[in-house]
Amino acid sequence: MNNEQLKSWLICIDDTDDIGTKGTGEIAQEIAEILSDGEHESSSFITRHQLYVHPDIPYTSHNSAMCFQLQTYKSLETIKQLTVAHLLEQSAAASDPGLAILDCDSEFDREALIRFGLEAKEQVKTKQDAYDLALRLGICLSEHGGTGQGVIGALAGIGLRLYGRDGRVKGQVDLGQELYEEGVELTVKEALTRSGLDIVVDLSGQQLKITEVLHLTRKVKAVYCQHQFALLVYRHEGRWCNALKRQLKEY
Amino acid sequence: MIQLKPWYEFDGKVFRFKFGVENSAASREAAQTCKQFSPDDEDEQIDDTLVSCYNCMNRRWLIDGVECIQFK
Repeated sequence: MNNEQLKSWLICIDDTDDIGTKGTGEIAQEIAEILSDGEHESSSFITRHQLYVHPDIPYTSHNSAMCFQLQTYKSLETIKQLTVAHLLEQSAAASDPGLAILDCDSEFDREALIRFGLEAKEQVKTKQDAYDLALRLGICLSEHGGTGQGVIGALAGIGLRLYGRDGRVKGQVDLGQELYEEGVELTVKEALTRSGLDIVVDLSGQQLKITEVLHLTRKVKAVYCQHQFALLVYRHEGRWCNALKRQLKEY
Repeated sequence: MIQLKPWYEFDGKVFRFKFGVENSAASREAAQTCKQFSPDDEDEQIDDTLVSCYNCMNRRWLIDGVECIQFK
């Protein structure tokens, strides 16, 4: 029996990959599994947050950060130790990994963190900007190789996750739709139950009722909006269809 | 990379896709002719058709476009 308290954390990593190496999303997934291996421990879906692309920002090809929420009995020290060990083992040699860890139960300036995340989508931020804010808010921020430039995206990713209206969910939603050329038809309730997602929304952000019928084909992706994991759909030929990649790009 | 010349041009700094970031048709045509096409992670793909420069590991997003880093 564990005497420690089950606590909630947000963990974000950035700049761990290079062309042809294991992606940051995959490394985040592995870290989430390592950190949530105990009884009653769990990790959420991972969200991918797009950051600014600019000549002054050294990014591989797309500049995105990966964030997840963790429920664990582990201490901050243990979380950091396990995460850093995995980052050092799996990050690309030419990468500049950054790691941010937020204790969700701590007192911090939420708005300042969200602002930093939103600004990092439109402005060039510096490592000093990131470290200054992390110090002020009491967030654990650290770099693990190369220039350590990934600390900017790691902190921004946490801000964007807290913002609640940014990011695509890593991976695809498997509801059996790829087994059939014509896809599958499911009610919203069935889709949510089977996928673990929270809501189904249309392109304007309107939630669908649980009795609505969805027509799902090929690749199905989810996004993070309204602080929930959402299946994004659009109306096409009188049916609710899963969003196309170009529609998901907005997230 | 000569086969990609109709779709890319050197802008003084990088080899830039001539058709911007919203022209999936051109992006797919270009990738179909390219021997270096290699899909990026699924999470980084933005075109529903796999073989598309927009989905390629060798493309790099710019503020206002996309470059191919295979051109040297």
